[in-house]
Amino acid sequence: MEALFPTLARLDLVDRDPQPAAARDAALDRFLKEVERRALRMAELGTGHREDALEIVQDAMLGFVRRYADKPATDWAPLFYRVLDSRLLDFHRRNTVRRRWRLWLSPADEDGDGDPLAQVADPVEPGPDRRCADGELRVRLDAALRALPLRQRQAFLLRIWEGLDVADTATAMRCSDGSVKTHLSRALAALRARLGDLA
Amino acid sequence: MNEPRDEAWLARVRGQLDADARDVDGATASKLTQARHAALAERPRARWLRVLAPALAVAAALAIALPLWRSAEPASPAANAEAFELIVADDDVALYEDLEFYAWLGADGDDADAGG
Repeated sequence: MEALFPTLARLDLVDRDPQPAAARDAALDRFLKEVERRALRMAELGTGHREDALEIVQDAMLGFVRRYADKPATDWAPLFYRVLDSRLLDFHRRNTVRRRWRLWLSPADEDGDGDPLAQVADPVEPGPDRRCADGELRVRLDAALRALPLRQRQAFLLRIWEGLDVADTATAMRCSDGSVKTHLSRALAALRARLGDLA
Repeated sequence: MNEPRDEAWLARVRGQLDADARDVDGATASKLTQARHAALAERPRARWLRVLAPALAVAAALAIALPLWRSAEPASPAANAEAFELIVADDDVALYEDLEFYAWLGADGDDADAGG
């Protein structure tokens, strides 16, 4: 196999990553550990359910490792969030289709009054006790972020919370830099209007 | 959003989001760890192996299929000619023409043996 390596290298079939496999695995583990909780929070804001969010984060981790583990570590953050964003979009598309089917099958429920799901308590909604304990900001911020359209929320979370630059956010969201700026500016305006000065 | 007031506002929002992400219960943290380990177990093999894997699979399939294909192949023209010669050879045609006589002769012989 050793003799085969120069040939494979000429054909660009050998990993040129200077990191040995074990070190790379350790670096990947550290990276995923670092982002997993923030990813869960993002997914939770997008889905409204802890279990759905966990499933999406797990799926995103798998997709990221399978597709992008060989990329340079400096590219990991935007690529991981790209996979997560794609999974969140899929979730929203599926939900939209499901909602349309529900409306089509029972148009009388269009106003939502008869929808049994509307009566189910939100499992992520903290409830009155926790709301008092954790303070008002958490609840208000949570509600304000959930009220944002998906793309605006993602632009805000990736740029402001995750700290990605405009180009990396655009990579993660698969859109142009200009779109990122537009989504972010609208998100900030909506959040400021909803949250006020947070004094 | 470049004024200090805005920066303070953003810092509060970030702080709250960080706190939310930190305050994850044990069960959820455990599920996240399991998900991470499952993902890391899926780490792709060396690139050369990934690229060559389909070629190796095709080679293995051919190695199995070729002998089977060759054994199912019709006989060569030479073998066909030999079989044809055997079919059309008229050496023993007389035997087949007198088959009934030889059958009677055989039966008669058996009867004589039984009677004797």
